[in-house]
This record gives sequence, C-alpha cells and structure tokens, in this order.
Amino acid sequence: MSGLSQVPVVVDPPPAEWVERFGDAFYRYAVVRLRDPHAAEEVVQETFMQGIERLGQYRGDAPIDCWLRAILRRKIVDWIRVEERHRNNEKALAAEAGWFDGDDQLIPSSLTTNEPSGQVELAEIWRVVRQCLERVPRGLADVFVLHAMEHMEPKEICKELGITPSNLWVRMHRVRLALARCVSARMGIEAN
Amino acid sequence: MVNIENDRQAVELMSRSLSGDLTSAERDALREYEARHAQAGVLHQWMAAIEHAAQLGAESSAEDEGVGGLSPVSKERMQRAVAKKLEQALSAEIDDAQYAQVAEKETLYYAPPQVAAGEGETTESAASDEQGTQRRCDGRFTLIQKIGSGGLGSVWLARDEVLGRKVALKEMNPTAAASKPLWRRFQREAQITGHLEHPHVVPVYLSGIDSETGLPFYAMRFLGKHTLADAIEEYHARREAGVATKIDLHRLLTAFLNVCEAIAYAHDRGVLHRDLKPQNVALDRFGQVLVLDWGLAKLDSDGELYARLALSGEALDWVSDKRTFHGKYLGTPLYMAPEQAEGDLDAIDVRTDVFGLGAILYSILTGRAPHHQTVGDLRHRQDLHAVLRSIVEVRPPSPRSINPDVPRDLEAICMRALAPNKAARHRTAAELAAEVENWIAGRKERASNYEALRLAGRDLKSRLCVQLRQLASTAKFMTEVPPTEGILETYVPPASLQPDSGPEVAGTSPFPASEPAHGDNTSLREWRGRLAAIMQAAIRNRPNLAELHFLAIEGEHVTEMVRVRRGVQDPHNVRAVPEDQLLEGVSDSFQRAVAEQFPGEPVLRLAHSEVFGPVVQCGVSVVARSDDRRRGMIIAAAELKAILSVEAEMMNLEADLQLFDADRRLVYSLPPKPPATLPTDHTTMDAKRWETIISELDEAGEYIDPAERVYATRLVFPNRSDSITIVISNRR
Repeated sequence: MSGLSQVPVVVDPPPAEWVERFGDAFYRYAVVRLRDPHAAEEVVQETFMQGIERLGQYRGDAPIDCWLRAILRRKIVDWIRVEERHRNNEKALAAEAGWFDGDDQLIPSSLTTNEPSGQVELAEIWRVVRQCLERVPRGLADVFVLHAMEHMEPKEICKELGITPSNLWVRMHRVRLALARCVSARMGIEAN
Repeated sequence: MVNIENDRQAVELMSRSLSGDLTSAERDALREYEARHAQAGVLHQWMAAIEHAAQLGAESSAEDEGVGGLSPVSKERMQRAVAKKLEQALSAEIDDAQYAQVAEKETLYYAPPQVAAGEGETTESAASDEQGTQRRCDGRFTLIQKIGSGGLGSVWLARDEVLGRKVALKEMNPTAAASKPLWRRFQREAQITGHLEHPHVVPVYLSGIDSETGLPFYAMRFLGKHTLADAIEEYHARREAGVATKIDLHRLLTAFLNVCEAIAYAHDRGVLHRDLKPQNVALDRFGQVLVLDWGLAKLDSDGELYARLALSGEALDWVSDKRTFHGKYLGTPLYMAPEQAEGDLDAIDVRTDVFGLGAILYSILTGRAPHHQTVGDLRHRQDLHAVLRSIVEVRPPSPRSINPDVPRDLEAICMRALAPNKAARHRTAAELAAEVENWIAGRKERASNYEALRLAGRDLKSRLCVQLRQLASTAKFMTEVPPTEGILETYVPPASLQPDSGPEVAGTSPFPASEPAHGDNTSLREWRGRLAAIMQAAIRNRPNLAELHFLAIEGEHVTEMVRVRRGVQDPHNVRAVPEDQLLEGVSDSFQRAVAEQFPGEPVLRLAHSEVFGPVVQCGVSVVARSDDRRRGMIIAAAELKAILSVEAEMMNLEADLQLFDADRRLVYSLPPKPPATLPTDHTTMDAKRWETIISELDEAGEYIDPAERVYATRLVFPNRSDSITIVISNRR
C-alpha cells in the first residue's frame, strides 16, 4: 500500500527529487558499511522504493531524509543478514592462526610495538580502519560494522545474523585483533 | 581473584572491556597484566582507538573522507526506477482506496502491515519471502522467487514438482484473506481467469487452498516477467535513438491485436476486464501474448460465463459484486476511462474496455500512458481525487503532439477509442481491432485492387482462426462435462487391453464397452446417453459442426464410446450413432498426437471425411481424475465447406478462393470445382507454382503476385500440427 493520498504532511522534497537530493549521501553511507559499490547502490535504490511504498506512514516528525535514512539502515542490516546466510564462515573463524604461539602468547611480529600516537587524528585512524575492513574476512567485518558503527546490541546482532552469542563474541574478538594488527602495521609504515 | 595466564586470555578480556562487559576484578587483573606485558598494553590501546575511530567515523560524512557518490549512470537508472515506482504506487492507490471502502461497508477491517520504517519490520521470514525460500505451496509447488505483489496477494515463480515445470503462482496474503469480500474477490479472480479459455488469456492450471497456510492460491502459465510495457519502453528507446524500424511497431500492433482478440472473446462470454494496461499483458520472446490480472473483472449476469457458473451455484456469491463495489473507483488512473474515474459502475460496459484498449494503443504510439501528463502534474499534491477529477475533465494530448511520427490514420483510430463519450468510441473490441488491422493492411491509404485481395485474404484468415478457436473451445468444453468423467469412471476396458494383460488382439471384441462383464453397464449407458444429449445440443447450436466423438484410450487402442453427427441430407437431423456402429481399433497418428498432447491443449488437422468431405478435426485429451492418466479424447469435426461458404458470404467476397492442404491438394474452391470422381482424385496445384508460393510463405508469411493478381497466406494450426494455404485471385 503506497498511501500516496493519505500522506498527512507535505513531503519535501517530493519523491521524484529524492535521488538527486539524497542519492550521493546515502550511497556513501552504504558503501562505507557494505564495502561493495554494487550492494550499496542496490540498498539505496531499495530504500527509495520502500520510501515510496510506505509514504503513508510518514508523519512529518523528522525531516524526510532522516526517515529515509532509517529505512536505509534497515536495508543495510538486511543485506548483511542475507549475505551471512549464504557465506561460509569457516575462513573467518579460522582467522586467528598466526597470532599466538604454542603458549598462547602473542607472536611479537604480529603486532607493531608503536602505540597509537596521541597526535594521530582519529579521522586518520578511521581512514585506515576502512581500508583494513576490506582485508579482513567479511563475516568478521560485518559484525564490527553492526556493533561499532550501527551501534546494534549484541542480542540484536545475534538475532539478525542467526548466530549464537558465543559465536558473536569470538567474531568480535577476532575482528578487533585483526583490525588492531592491520591498522597499527599500516600506520606504522605510513609514519615511517 | 582473576588470574590471567597468557596473552590469549588477556586479549579476550580486552575485547570484552571494549563492549563494557568486564567485572571490576577482571579490569584490575587486565590492567596489571598489561603493566607486566608491554605488547598486550599496546594492543589494547590500538583496539580502543579503532573502536573510538569507528564510532566517530560512523557519524561523520563520508564525503569528507574521499568516498565518491553515485555515478551519473547509476543515478539516472535510479531516477527511472523511482519514476516507475511512483506510477505503480499511484495505480495501486486506486485499489487501496477501494479496499478501504469495502472494509468500511462490510465492517471488516483490512489494513496492510503497518510498521514504522527502521523499526526492524523486515524480519528474517519477510526477507526470505523475497528470495527463494523453497517453501512449498499445497505440497506440490515449490516457491522460488517472488515476482510481484499487490493488495490481495503475491505472485511467485514456482516449480510444479508433479509436472516438473515452472508456473506463476498467485497466493493470497494472510491479512487480505481475513476479509470476506477480499477472499471472495480472490476466488472470483481465479474462477474467471480459469473459465476464460483463449490462446491470449493466461491459462490457470490449478486453484485451491494451501492446507498448511489455509490461504487460497492459483497456478498459471509462467511466460516470464517481460510485459508489453517493457516492449513499449524498449521500442521508444530505440525510436528515440533513431534505430527503430517499422517492423518494431508492427510487432507491437500485432500484440495489441491479440489483446483485442482476447478481450473480444471475454466480452462474448460476458466478462469485462476493467483494468487494461500494458503491464497486464505478458509477452514472451516468441511473440506469445497473454492478458493477465483479471482481478477487477466484472461478470455480466446475462453472459454465458455467468449462466454456466450459475448452473453450478458458483455465481450466486457474485451477485453482490455490484453492491459491494458501488461508487468505488476501479482501475488504474494512468489508463482509466472517464466513467471509471467518476466511480460510476453502472456506466461501465464493453466500451470501457475499448477505452482501455485505446489506452494501450496510445502507449504503443507515444511511449506514455494517456493520463501521464494529468497524473504527473498532480502527483506532488498527493491528491487522488484531484487526479480522478482531472481524468474526467482533461482529454489526453494527441499522440502526434508527443511523437510526430505517428500516422494520422492510426492517431484517429486511437483517439476514437479514447473518446470521453462512450457512444463515440468503437462499439466493440473487435471493431477497434478491425480498424487497426485495416490500417496495417493499408486499406485506407491504398485502396487498390491488390490491397483489397490482401485484405480479403487476411480477413478470411482471421475469420478462419476464430472458427477454429470455437471448434477447439467446443472440444475442450466436452472434456469438462460430467458425463465424460462419468464414462471414464464406469468404463472398464476388456481384460486384453489392461496393462498387465497379454498382447493386444485388435478387433476380437467388436464393442467391449457394452459387455456387462466389463463394468456397471447401466451406469455407463446412462453416462453415454447424457454425453450424446450434450453433444447433440452443441452440434445443433453450431451450424458448421459436423461430428463429435468421445473415444476411450488404452495404450494404443481406442474405443469409440459416443459419436454424434449431423445428417448429410438433412443437416437438422443430429443423431447419436448406434452403439453397434461405433468403432474401435489401433489409434491413428492424429489420435496418438492428441493422446500425447498436454491435457486441455487442442491438436488440429485437416482431414477428408467420406461423409462430409474436407473437415477440420480438433482433438483434446481427457484426463481421468481417479488416476490422473490420459484415458480419453474428444474429437470435434467441422465441415470446411460450411465454415467457408458462410464466411465468404459474410465478407461479400468477390474474388476466387482456393484452399489447399499441406500436400497441395485442393480442399475448397469458390466457385466450386466439379466433384472428384474418386476420393483419391484430388485437384492439386501446379507443383512449380506451389513451390514458389510455399517458399514465399515460409519467408514472408504472405505471397503476392501483382501481375497475376494473386494473394496467398497460410493458416498454421497450433503446434504446427497442420496448415491451410489460402489463395485468393481476381481473375474472374
């Protein structure tokens, strides 16, 4: 049900202008989270489609772009969930190899000894985090995006992805370790 | 006391600390461990910095970080998709408005799921709904992918596991199913669609209620997702790029004529479609055209279909249709007739569908819906009533104002069909189709002698087509009458023909069906009598119908159960052939072809009857419900002479007419040739000339010899089972 005739408030800008006005921003938002330009395009288009379908539910409490962004976030989570269902996560779960030695101590070469410098801008770290997210297995990167960027509760993530809490913790733990290794190494190289 | 033994344990605690999940004892232990192990401490700092950066990064604008936006191509594609969606949404609006009013009247509440965006309404099951759940419907159909959805239900691409083919399956959605009127409407849609048997109406294979979900569904032929709307869009894209040819337009017009035929057929049976638009016409790459979505169809209480359903008690519920929908808007605004936009249901009749056909023609000519401008201008106001008012008041712009290449004559035909005043429109779908056909043939522009011949040839061909379809429809009807099933249930083939018996000995039992030992003879005789009575009525009602048979099949053996034929001397004398004259034996090639054909699909051939001369036979197999096997067939035969003499007279045909079979034997001639002295003594066409004509027909579909003033065309029977070559000459 589109509800076009039931929209109680003025929709500004009207749907015909959404792509022009919000397309680029929504695409950037999605591509950072999905790390896949095609997927990002698709979720943005689906967002506009669903926005038109559900326009009857828009109450005008928030600007239309915020309302649409809420749909976009939902679409991103849906996309990640569907991907998760079709993915073999064995590789992601085996990613720990090479980090610890036989005594469960960190292998020194696996990590830079440089501390994150106080002078380093968080924005700079974020730029490198985005690069590193593309290098870690998707099954790990996705839980990081949902947790750290989409601020989803662990319970919610487990429900969406159909995984157990212990599986989620293993993944969170590994992605943090993997990112720490990747980001610190890259920034160390860049600093040198 | 928490004791951290190694880095692995420490790292796990670090991770938990970032999620705020540590006890104070664990926090202390971790701090102490990091003080002792510098590397672990560094790691923890990086982890925290990354977490913090990601949280801040998530809030920041990616634009500042060098992430590009959509490419111009993607943006354009997205804009097109949004525009299309807006059009669809406005169309659906009409339906929704209607639902709301129905609900109010019936004090039944219907509302689609109301979920605020972003609140997680797309649950796992909803998402799986979109893409291949492999869910089963009725235990027989595996749902593969959702291909469309509307207010009443969803259409799925599904696999029929019994017959191993893809079908389109329409399933009612649970919310709509809670409403009685909507439930009835869904059932009615399935029934009407199922009862319209026409090559250009989507055939319904099965309808029922899924035992697991309790939801009604029906399965239909799946042609693919390509519709006339897509074909029109492609044509206009090519036209604008300067690469479209006249053949492209001709193809669309041919599809349009097929739609007209289907609608004319539905009107004949007392059914109005009421929602004609290019999106409701499916096309496949072989040119097959199917009119879909009979959800808003209306049954005329004086029509044949209503009467037929009333006999079975099915139509009784539908009497309330008028009351239920009174004052409601039915249709799609972009293609809606003024009387529909006014909500005047009493004014809706055949000419409302003529408007719908005109709207499709308009889209073909311009690439736009007739009310494109009106709806587009008012869309931003979100006011449905303003849109409907405007449809009543504003006439669509002329096609040539949008596309100057539209021929004037065709524009005039289109605008006549779209006349606001119903009386000014074509009276019937067939009349509109005839005008377009005439235009295609160019009669109005070039009224030459040859053109007249060509028009006559095409006209005769289309008339013959109609006759053959009627023949097929009669045969199919006979497969569905209760006595046909009754005979199959009561007839027991002789033991020698049973699958586990010994070798067949044809002819040893001259008429096994009448032997009491083979079954309930009284009951079988009764069923035969009833079928014979129905067949007699059918032959009396159709002057060109010569004979109807019902044969039982057992392997390659056929046994004639009933035969009713028209008298040769006195055509009004229609009698059942006595039982002792019924035939049996090994089936011929035609009967085998019928037996092998999919149930309900006709097989036609041109044959020579010793009694009637050249006849067209149409066979349809009959499946026994008890074991789902093809165990019988109906064969209907029409006299070619009877068909053609009437049609030629109606056409006022002044040229010479000759019809040849596939072996170039003359099967009909006007003026008549002297009768052959022997059945085998056929007049044949000169072999060389035949070859020329045939090769031209194979290539171009028509043969033209302006010098000799000869025109030939060919009517190919369904499944290419046979053909008739029509030759018209003007040498008299």
